[in-house]
Amino acid sequence: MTWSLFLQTLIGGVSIGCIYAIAGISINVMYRPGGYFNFAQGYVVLLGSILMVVLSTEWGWNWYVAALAIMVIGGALGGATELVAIRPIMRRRSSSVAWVITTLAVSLLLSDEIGAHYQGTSTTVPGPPGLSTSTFNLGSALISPYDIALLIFACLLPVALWFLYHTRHGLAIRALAEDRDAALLRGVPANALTSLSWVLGGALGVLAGVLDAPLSPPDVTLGFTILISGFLAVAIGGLGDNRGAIIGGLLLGCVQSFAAIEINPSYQNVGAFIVFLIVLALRPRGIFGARVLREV
Amino acid sequence: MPVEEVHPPSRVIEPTRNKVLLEVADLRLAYGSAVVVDGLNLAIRQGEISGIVGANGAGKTTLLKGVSGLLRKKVGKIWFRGQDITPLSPRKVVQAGIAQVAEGHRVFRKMTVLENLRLGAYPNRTNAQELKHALEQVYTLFPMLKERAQLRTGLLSGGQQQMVAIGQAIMASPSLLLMDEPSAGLAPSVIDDLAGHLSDLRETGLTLLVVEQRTGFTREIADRIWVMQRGSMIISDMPAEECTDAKLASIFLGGSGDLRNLCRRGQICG
Repeated sequence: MTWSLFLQTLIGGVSIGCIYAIAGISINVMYRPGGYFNFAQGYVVLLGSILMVVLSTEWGWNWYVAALAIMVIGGALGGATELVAIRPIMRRRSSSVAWVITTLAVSLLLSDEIGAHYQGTSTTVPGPPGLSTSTFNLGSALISPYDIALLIFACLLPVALWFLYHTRHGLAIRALAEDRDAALLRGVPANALTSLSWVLGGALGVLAGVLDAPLSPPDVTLGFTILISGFLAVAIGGLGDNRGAIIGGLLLGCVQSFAAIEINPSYQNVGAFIVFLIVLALRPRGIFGARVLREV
Repeated sequence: MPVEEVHPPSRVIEPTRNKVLLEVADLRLAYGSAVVVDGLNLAIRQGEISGIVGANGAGKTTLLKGVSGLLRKKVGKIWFRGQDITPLSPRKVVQAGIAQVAEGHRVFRKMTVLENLRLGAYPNRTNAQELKHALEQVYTLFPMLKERAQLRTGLLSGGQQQMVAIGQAIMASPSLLLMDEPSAGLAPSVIDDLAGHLSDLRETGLTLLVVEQRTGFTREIADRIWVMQRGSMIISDMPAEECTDAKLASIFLGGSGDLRNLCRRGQICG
């Protein structure tokens, strides 16, 4: 592999890795207050991408206005998912794992609706005003302002969330994550904060799709693949840790890119799973996962 | 008989009951079909430390869960300052003025001491000035917490975590503090300190309801003692000094026997 090909592969891997990382963070945000995964999140990301194509390319909306509108829709979708697929089950029996089935049902619903109404496209959405996807030379490789902005945004997102989780409501969400009953005794409104987290997670999920739209055209068959990639990013980095999701996402993106270039495009997921297994063998709770304290 | 008939919601509190802060009438609590508290009555006076002693499984923790709103399905009535708090959620109960220190000093171990204390003030929507004032009050009671404010709570000793748990509860500015087995898992010297802290809290005007297995500790801290067995009170409102080991032995062992036998069986401790 030449140096320029190495750099180009790395840039491509980092860009798609940022999308995985943001998708992973959205999964973390939803997981945190109650410990529930949203198995529909892959299609939520895909929905963001598709809506961006429709609003920005077909309807001609301003990129930023379209992104904001899609985040509102994503937030509403996240909140509605929590309301219909999580809360009724947890109200009846908190130890139930039926939420796996209900969130998978939401996933199937989204998949069918997207498949029925979206015909697909082969073109990508232009980058936002001021952040072109047109490339320039960085040494012997090509990079776009959009690639750079995407990486900066992905790295700043955990910082923003760190501040959010240190506010009054953020503390309460962390308390719910650690010990739900003890948090309830402190007067923490569990339902409201769980809903809030799912609204935020939904908005971040579609944002991952929005940001992916200028990189690659949305493919209606990829919802489940995006979900797996987001989960892998989270599992590699450490469940619930947003710094970990960034590291996990970038690692995953780069491994997929190098596996596709060096071995075969059909091996990119095999490479990702091998890295996943290696990380979990060395650190079962992920790179930033909490260490198990042994009492002595 | 329906509880409402005994205490109509519109009742007027008698002048003699003005000092009663918490009143529980004919309370019945169950986990599914297993009834744990049945027909329980209780009246806690303002400004006192009341102790409830009872063996494992007597229903002490369940009673506190019922009062604090963690157990929502209940029959009977709970009044706090004359207000019916029976159907309230834990959040509303805290806002009404009742805070609880759960069994096993359940603090948030991944958070710092300061974050734990800030969380205690969560339901009050305090501004920065009020929060600072509340923190200073906690630091006056537990100066050690100020020194360790930025330390992760999980790194503290059991006794220090208990201080965080109490500090966190009083950050909500409660009128009544419920404590579930505060001495559990603590070294004897730490239990002595704890007794001192609870007396200090009473001096601030706070009313305490302490649930315990240790009769000696309860006698030491409490003004009045209640004895609970199989979900109801078998002794109510007894002055602490009258609640001797001999009396407890006669209650639990039927007239004769040694209280230490119960202690060995893990039931209650002297």
